Amino acid sequence: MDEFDRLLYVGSAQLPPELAKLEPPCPWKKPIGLICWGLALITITINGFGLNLILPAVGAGLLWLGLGALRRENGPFRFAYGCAGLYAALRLAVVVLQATPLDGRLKELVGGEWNTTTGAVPVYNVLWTVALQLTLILVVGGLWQGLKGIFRRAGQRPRTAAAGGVVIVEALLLPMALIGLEGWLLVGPLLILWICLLVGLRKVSRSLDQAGYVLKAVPSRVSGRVVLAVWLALHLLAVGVLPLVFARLPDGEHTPVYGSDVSDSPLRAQLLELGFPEDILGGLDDNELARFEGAYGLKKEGYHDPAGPHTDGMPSVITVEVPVRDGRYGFRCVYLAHLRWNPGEASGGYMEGIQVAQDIQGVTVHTTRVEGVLKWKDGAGTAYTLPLDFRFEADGAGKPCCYADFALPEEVDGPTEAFLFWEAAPSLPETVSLYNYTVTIAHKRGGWQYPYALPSDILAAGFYSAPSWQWRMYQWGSEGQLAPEGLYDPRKY
Amino acid sequence: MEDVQLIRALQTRQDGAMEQFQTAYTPLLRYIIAPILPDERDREECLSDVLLRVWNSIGTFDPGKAALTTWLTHLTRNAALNRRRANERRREGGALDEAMPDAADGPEQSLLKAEAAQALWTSVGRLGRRDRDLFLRKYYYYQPTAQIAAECGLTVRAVEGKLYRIRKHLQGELGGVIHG
Repeated sequence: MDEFDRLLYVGSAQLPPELAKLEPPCPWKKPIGLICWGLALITITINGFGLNLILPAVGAGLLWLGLGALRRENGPFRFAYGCAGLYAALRLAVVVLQATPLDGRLKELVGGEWNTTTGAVPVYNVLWTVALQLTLILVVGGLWQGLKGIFRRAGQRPRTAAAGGVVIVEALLLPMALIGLEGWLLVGPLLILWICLLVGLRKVSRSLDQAGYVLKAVPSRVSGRVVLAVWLALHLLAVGVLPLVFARLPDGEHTPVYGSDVSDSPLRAQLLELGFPEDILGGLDDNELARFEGAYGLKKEGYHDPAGPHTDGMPSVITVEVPVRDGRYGFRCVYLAHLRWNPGEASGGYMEGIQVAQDIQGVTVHTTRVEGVLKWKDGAGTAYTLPLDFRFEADGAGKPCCYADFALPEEVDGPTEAFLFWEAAPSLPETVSLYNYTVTIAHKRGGWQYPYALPSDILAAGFYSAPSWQWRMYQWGSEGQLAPEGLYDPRKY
Repeated sequence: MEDVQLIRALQTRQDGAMEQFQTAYTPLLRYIIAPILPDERDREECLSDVLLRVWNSIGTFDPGKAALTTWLTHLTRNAALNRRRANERRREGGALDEAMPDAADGPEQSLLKAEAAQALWTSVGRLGRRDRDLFLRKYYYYQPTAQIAAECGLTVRAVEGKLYRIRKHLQGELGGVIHG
């Protein structure tokens, strides 16, 4: 103790401050305050500016810190402290998983859907909601019992109605989330009740000061602010940096093509005569060409503009409809969608996605799954092919859709082309049926995105679902016809 | 029972009022006494003394001027501090605690000390809420740094650092007002 220290003690003893200004220290005030703020930030969700991530993260940290200071008081507080740690860890796990493709894979692995009043949600998401909310209920339950224990120890009647109320509200939120109850008429009163309960819980610290002033506060090795800062930094790393690791889809198994698999067959000449675009025909190998055996018509839509710019990595699209004779169905239509990315725009892309949606009206049509291949040449002139893996999934309206996700090759010389094929055969081959389809392309514009989403997820969610600064979308629609030989007229539709 | 009812019950000497008061406020009184008096027997004697004082002087307490807890804190802290001073003085051959004010000051010395204390409290009043709380805990309630750190969710080093800065600030503000 130095001289000035001694003088401060003497001065403090000499002339005490005015009674009205002097408030006794309240050891419970800080931990209970942290807990209340923690619960408030966790439960109230504010969307926008990343607050839906930041506020719950801060809330979970505050809850853990508040209960940490009380954990030596009694068993229920220790239990609540452990559960608060688990809750914070689970929240961080959700944030980390959503920054990676693992989240989508786990969603697929769990599978299934849970129906709520607002629509179906994946069972995987429901499991996370249940785990998080149950843990939070255990936290507030432990807090409630811990507070009761303090009052009982002091021989006083427990004044913990607010804490009990918080437990009931948190428990109510779980079935509400599972049923999908929404709307201000229901949520509004509950929110007001919940705020009142938190204010009541905050006031409990005053009663606790009378009931258990001898708080066995736990000494901290690291200050709460540092803990909170590190905790937030972990979240920011998960959200800000981790997505950059998964910015680009891995390159697929591409195969070099040596020599030419293109022959001068009579079919090529026939297709050219029907009006098949020559440059596209030149890119088809004999196996691909064989799909058009028996062609009796052709309809081409779209055009390539090699000189024109296609901003933001969008390809130009040409679609070709070729009806062919078929022994089983009488006839079927073979469709080819040709996508071309010009050099410079194509290379170095992060993620691309293609959706082919088919719309058949009034008739039953047998369609095949879309098959596709990506073709390009590297700087040395070696040609490569990469098969595109399309998966089938009906969209929200029940329309059959096929999706493929891929990344454009980085080392290219010349355009990168995609050839997509599918077929359609009507169950009534003697009539003319309408067959519409759309080819939608999604292109990821930058490295960062949170939460992680595949282009097919973006496409499945709808054309306008993705933010335009992150995703560029392009849709090509075509009206086709399924018509038998003699009735097929490409100019009619 | 609410504070106002409890005070009324104590003032009108109702049966069981003192038991209720003890149940509600003994933890607070112990909390204030503990850092000032290290000896357990001293603490118990001081607590009994405070309870007696409360019983005797509750009639003079005006709930309109201050909260009951504030009045009790002040009363208890002074009682504990007086006992500590008395203990120091009784100690045969032992040195006086330098932190304790000297009771044998003359009128001039007392006036100077009162002036210095007034200046000190004015400066403390200008501190931020958190710094003021730290100052009061340390120099008014005699709480050890470890206790302050634990209750405020800070590390001992952080508390020491903050107190050091508060001292420096006060030293700068008070200049030559506080002197030995």
